[in-house]
Order: sequence, then structure tokens, then C-alpha cells
Amino acid sequence: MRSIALVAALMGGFALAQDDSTVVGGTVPAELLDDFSQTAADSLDDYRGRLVLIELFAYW
Amino acid sequence: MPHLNELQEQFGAEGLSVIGVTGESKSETENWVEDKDAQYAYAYFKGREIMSVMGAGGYPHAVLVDPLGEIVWDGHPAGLTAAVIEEHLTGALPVPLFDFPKGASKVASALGKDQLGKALDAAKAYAAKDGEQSAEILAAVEGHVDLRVGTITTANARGNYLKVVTQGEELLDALDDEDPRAVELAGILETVKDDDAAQDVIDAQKKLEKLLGGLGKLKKKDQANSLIEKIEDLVEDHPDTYVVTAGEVAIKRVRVLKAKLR
Repeated sequence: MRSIALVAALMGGFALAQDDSTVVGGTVPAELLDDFSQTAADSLDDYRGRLVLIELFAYW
Repeated sequence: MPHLNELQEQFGAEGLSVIGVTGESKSETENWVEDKDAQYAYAYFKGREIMSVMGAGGYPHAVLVDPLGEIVWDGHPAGLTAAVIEEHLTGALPVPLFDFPKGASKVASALGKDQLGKALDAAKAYAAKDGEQSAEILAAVEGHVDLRVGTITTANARGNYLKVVTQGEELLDALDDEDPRAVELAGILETVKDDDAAQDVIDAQKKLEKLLGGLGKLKKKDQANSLIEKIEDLVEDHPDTYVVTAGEVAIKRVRVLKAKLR
């Protein structure tokens, strides 16, 4: 998972999908996430080549 | 989060990894994970940038990132259907790199460094030894390379020449020169390089990129309007090219931001 700026990805890697989304075609920079648990991964980069579902959650 | 447990269970072996991310404290998160019996991986974030990157206005919110690292869907997790997941499983690795069998560590290492030619050679050698999951791993590496090359040929067909030259060169470096896919790719790159019209589109895409580079500095609606006008001018100067498509996306993005400005 490369940390490419969203803007660059929009220009270079635009995907024709989901018209109402402003983030489709962008990327999730690996450095935004740390302290991985319940996995042998240390970074989002370790999931390179996988289809990844990332869910933001809060329990309140 | 039973829904996420089910997705991980249903699609994990086909290439899906689920990761929950939170900005909450570790102790409370660990209690919550145990209480809810969440079976998937989770990680932490700090600050608000992740919200912006994922297009989140609240919780919960999810993004689906394809095997090439590109966001292909975002929304409420409950709205993610099996059909959307299945659509993007093509070319996904059957197991994460860190879970590859020990005997296939060279394959995982090469993939991790994006050395696709080496990864293919290692996968073939592993298959020759009939190692654990070797046929599956070789097919997955071949599929991943096909996906990468297919993305470039599709970009070329759509006239997205900036993507062709940036990602295509990178991919060409990652493949063995003798690989027929590398030969095909080199041909596409050569054609784009010699095509003045394609080069003009690339210049325009770079200008667009530069214009959007100032997006974070916008403070007022007037500035956003001025930026939209510049993008519209660029689009107008390049009719019937990918600049029109990219320009429309860019304008949409500026308008979203503009709505939050004074």
C-alpha cells in the first residue's frame, strides 16, 4: 500500500466508480495507522496485494 | 461487529483482510474487542487526517482498498455488499504476505519489495518443489501481475497517460525483461512517449495536479471559485481527452471543500 498523495492518485489513478465519493481513487497512507493487534502485521504496507476493508469505529 | 467477522470469514481465503481502526485508548479498545468478539485485526490512529483520507463524516465508516492500494468504495459498513467485494477480489493474494508458508518466504519477500519478476521466479521454484499452497501461490502471483499490467492497459485505453507513464515505468522495472507482459508494456510506453497528443494530455494532467496541490491552502469560497475556473479552462483546452474526466473529479472535490469555507 503506497503512501501516494490523494491528489496525485486522483489524477493518476482515478477510478470510474461511486459517483458520490470524493475519496475513491485515493489511497490510505500507511503511516496514519500503527499498533496493529490480532495480526502479525506491523503496518498497512504488510497487506500489500490484499483487498483490504478498513473500518473506522468507536464504541461510544 | 458480527458483520465484519462474517466478511472476514467468508472472503478471507479469497483475498480480503478486515482491519478495524480507532482513535480510542488501548485499554478500552481491548475490552471492547473482547466484549464484541471481534475476530479481525485492528489498529490505532491519531489526529483527524484519517477521517479526511477515508471520506468519513462520522462513525462507523469504511473504505475498501483494492490489491493495488487504491480506494474503490467508501461508506457505511452495512452498505458494503458481497457483490462489491467480489468485484475487487481479482488479483488479490490468497494469504497476506506475513502469513505465507515458510517455504515461500522468498516469494513474499520479493512481493513486499515489488520485485514481481523475482516473485514469479521464486513462486515457480516453490511450485516445482510442490510446497504448501504452491499452486495457489503461483496462480496468485501470476494473477497479481496480470492485474497490474491490466490496470496500465486500461489506463492507456482511457487516455489516462499520466498513469501509464508513472505506474507503467515502475511496473516495467519490477518485471523481467523477457516476460511477454513486460514487452507489451514497453510497447505501450514507447507509443505514449512518441505521441505528441498524449504528451500534451500528460502536461495538462500535471498542471491539474499542481492546481490541486494548493487545495489545502484554500480559506475562502472566492479562492475555490477561482480554482474551479482555472480547472474549467484547462478542461476546455483539452476536449475529448482524459483531462475532461480528471477535471470533473477535481472540480467535484473543490466543490466539496468549498462548501466548508466562508
